[in-house]
Amino acid sequence: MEVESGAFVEKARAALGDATLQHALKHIKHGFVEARANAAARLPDFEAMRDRARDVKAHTIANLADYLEQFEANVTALGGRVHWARDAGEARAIVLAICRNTGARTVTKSKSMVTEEIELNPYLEEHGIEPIETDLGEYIIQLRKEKPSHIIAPVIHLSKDQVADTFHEHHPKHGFHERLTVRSDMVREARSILRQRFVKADVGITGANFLVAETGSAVVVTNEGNADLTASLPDTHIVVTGIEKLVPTLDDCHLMLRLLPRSATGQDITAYISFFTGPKRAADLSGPSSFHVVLLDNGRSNMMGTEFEEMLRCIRCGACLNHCPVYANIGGHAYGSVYPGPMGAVLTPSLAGIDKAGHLPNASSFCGRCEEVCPVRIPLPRMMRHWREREFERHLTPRGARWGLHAWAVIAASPTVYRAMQWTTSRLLRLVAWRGWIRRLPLAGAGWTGQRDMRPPSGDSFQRQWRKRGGRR
Amino acid sequence: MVADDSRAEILGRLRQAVPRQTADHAPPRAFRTWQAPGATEIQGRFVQRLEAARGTVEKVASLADVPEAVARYLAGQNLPARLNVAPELKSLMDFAAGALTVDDSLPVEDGRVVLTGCIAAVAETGTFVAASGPNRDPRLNYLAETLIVVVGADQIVEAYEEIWNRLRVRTGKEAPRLVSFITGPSRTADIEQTIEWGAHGPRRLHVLISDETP
Amino acid sequence: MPFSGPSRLCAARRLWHYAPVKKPLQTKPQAALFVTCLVDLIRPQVGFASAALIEAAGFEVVVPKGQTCCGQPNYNSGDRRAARSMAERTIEELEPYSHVVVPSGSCAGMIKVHYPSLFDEADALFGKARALADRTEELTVFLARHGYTPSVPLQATRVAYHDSCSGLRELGIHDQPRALLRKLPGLKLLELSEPEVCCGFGGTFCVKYPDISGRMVENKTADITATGADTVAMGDVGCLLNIEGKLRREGRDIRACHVAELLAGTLEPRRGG
Ligand code: SF4
Repeated sequence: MEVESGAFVEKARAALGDATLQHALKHIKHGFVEARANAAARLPDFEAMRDRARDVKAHTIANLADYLEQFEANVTALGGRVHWARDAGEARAIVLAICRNTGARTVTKSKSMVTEEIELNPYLEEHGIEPIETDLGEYIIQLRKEKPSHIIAPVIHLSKDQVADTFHEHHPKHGFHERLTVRSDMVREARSILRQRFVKADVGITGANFLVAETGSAVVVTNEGNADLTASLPDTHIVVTGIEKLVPTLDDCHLMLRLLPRSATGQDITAYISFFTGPKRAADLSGPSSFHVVLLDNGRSNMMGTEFEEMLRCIRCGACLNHCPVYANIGGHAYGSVYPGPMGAVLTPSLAGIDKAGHLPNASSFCGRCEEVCPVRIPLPRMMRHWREREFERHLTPRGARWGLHAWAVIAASPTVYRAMQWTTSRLLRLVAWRGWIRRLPLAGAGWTGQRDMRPPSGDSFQRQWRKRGGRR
Repeated sequence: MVADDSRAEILGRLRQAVPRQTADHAPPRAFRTWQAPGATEIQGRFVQRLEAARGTVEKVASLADVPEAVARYLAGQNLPARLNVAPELKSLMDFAAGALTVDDSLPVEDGRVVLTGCIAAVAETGTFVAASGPNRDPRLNYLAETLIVVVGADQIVEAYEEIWNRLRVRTGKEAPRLVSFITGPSRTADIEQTIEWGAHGPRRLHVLISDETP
Repeated sequence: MPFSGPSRLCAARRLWHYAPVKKPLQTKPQAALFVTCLVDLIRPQVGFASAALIEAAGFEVVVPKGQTCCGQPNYNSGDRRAARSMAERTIEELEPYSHVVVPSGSCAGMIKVHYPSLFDEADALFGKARALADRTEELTVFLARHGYTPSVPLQATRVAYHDSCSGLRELGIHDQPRALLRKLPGLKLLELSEPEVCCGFGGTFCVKYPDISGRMVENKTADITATGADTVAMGDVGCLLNIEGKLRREGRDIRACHVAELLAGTLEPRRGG
């Protein structure tokens, strides 16, 4: 998994100055935040369901090996095949081998973060197979050779005009020459191009939102219906997904399905929820004759038993991104990982290593809103803090910060030193103030005064004044 | 073999770790049938929720009335009286009655109309449920630009979970290859978080609730 | 001198009025004020306002003299070991008091929510941490629980309240400060359009990621301005420094203060410049 979080600060700064992006990000509030609040308010049992969902997933993760075996047995009994991939490379190779076996030339894909994680598309292209993204957002991303900037709304960073330009650049080869500017016309044009691609594709690749152990079903949720076309028209259906997607039973799955769309987009249900179970049966009128499930580990099993285990409950709803004040101001690309925002801040270092993802768990004010909205109640800030601890232990924290923390610990350990420090700092701050305000500070203080002023202390420290006045101590 | 190694290694790692979360949680049972807020009787709730999802609804007394209702709907939408009829409905009604032309080729082109049945419908969210099977072709549901669905009044259940009872999956029968919960027309909000209808599947979804079940 | 003489004197005199008596009155229960390092250094007047309020609520105020920092900066930066020893010190220091009051949502949250998680359940300190957590209250929670009613001169008429994230989410502080402010006759309480959004302070976050933090506080001051408030009150000095500094940099004529200052009637008069 490719992670470029090193340039986070620079990318974030650029994002803050990008007027088009800033305008696009404004849609989060109405499109997601308010919609979720309304959906939750409409459902009296919403909070109780979240507790239940947390418990269901916790139970599943704690017994994951058993449920995976049950799932595999059920898929196999129906004539499907389950493949196990330790890492991205294995997963890609498995998918390629299946495609080659069927002599595939083109592959339709419905949106899948796991295939983004394993960078499947460039790999298939290198090997002469054309992947076609069919989710409108992913399709636009593919044309623009970008990465998604949100786990459920891949092009949330783009304006309608940018999409219009992209279509205008790429659609003439399909016979569409006009630059469309009306959204519905743009959707219609993409639809008719993709319809042809659906019909001709040799293999369909989808992700899975859930895997149901008791039936061996892969469950896919969409609003466009593209996953259903992807999985229904070609003769081969490959599901590529992570091992943590299991739920024990159909009932458990429906519980999750009541929470997922409400948390994600504020819909009570998405337009399509499909349970795919095995290949076409002998008497069926249609459907793919071969059905494969590729189960990806890629670092997930290493999270078991660690302080990051609870992250395996994640159902990828994106609510934590939508409610994150950092994400809402800089968008997803600045994070340099296909998993951005709070969930990415915890997951990315687990999958790619903390040395590669250092900024991600640090770029949070710990406001806690992500945890507040997470449908499976994952304590995201706590886990980000655990990553900071790992960094600190491994001396990956920047030297200046480490030094400062050590110094502060020494100061705070002794009330005498602490009081002397407070006295000195108070004096210094009052000294550099001009007309009652401090406009510029050096070192770490520069980060502060670059953005805002500071009022100096109004006098000696509280404790000193209290003592002088004879207050009880 | 590499594949077996991977399987063993992944399962081994999962089993070796001592989970931090409660492993002994009683196999969680989801909510029992559960009534979503809305109209008091089930059909009313179904209609309410479906209309909230941009579906349209009409009631018919019997299956014999379906062709005429379809013809009227298509005329009202200024659509040609030509449609693909799903296999499970074909023998149940006479389409000549509504002056409809039946075209059974796969509805790949723009503008195609499909009339289909369902295995059940769910009041909770105004959803109808399509499935694969010997005389069903679920592809039609996704390819049509205008989709008309016949739902028998007694096919409507309260909550999603009940679908699996109807399919007898809980009593040992294997699940069909595809069970699809469909709610309203296909849509996308990818461009500027603004909803557009008919992303890949139907732009219009019309449901005929029939007192007689197909 | 940073402050003009007369106004400072006025404020000081009012504070003096509430200054504690030296000899304990045996009838009054004691409450320890854990003043927090930010208040201690940068906003001593918030400490005095808090002391006055605790006293007015019927308690004798003690400021344990060994108190330093609760350890939050180290804890949130991954320096768990230092955080633990700072917690240990604070736990010992506050051990004798049956009521501990903290004029900060985040420091109170540190003690109430995070201290217990720093120790193994087998560790004796775990029990002590839990006990301290139970005895500790954020200032407005403490005042609301003791039915405190302010009777002080009104110093601001249109007041917006800003929720600090830790107070709101870790301690569920929402209604208490609002209810207390509403008890000031003539004060109109205004709500922000996005009260649940962080102001961008976040402890070390604001100096580690100044650009992002700067934008967050810019959004916050815009929201505050849109309410038409003359004053914005809050329960955390971290948020206060952040919001006040941004308002000032933007040249906006809106005062920022700790909610204790309004409740105690010790807010400094508006200053020009
Ligand atoms: S962490 Fe929670 S809120 Fe974020 S994507 Fe996962 S399930 Fe959704």
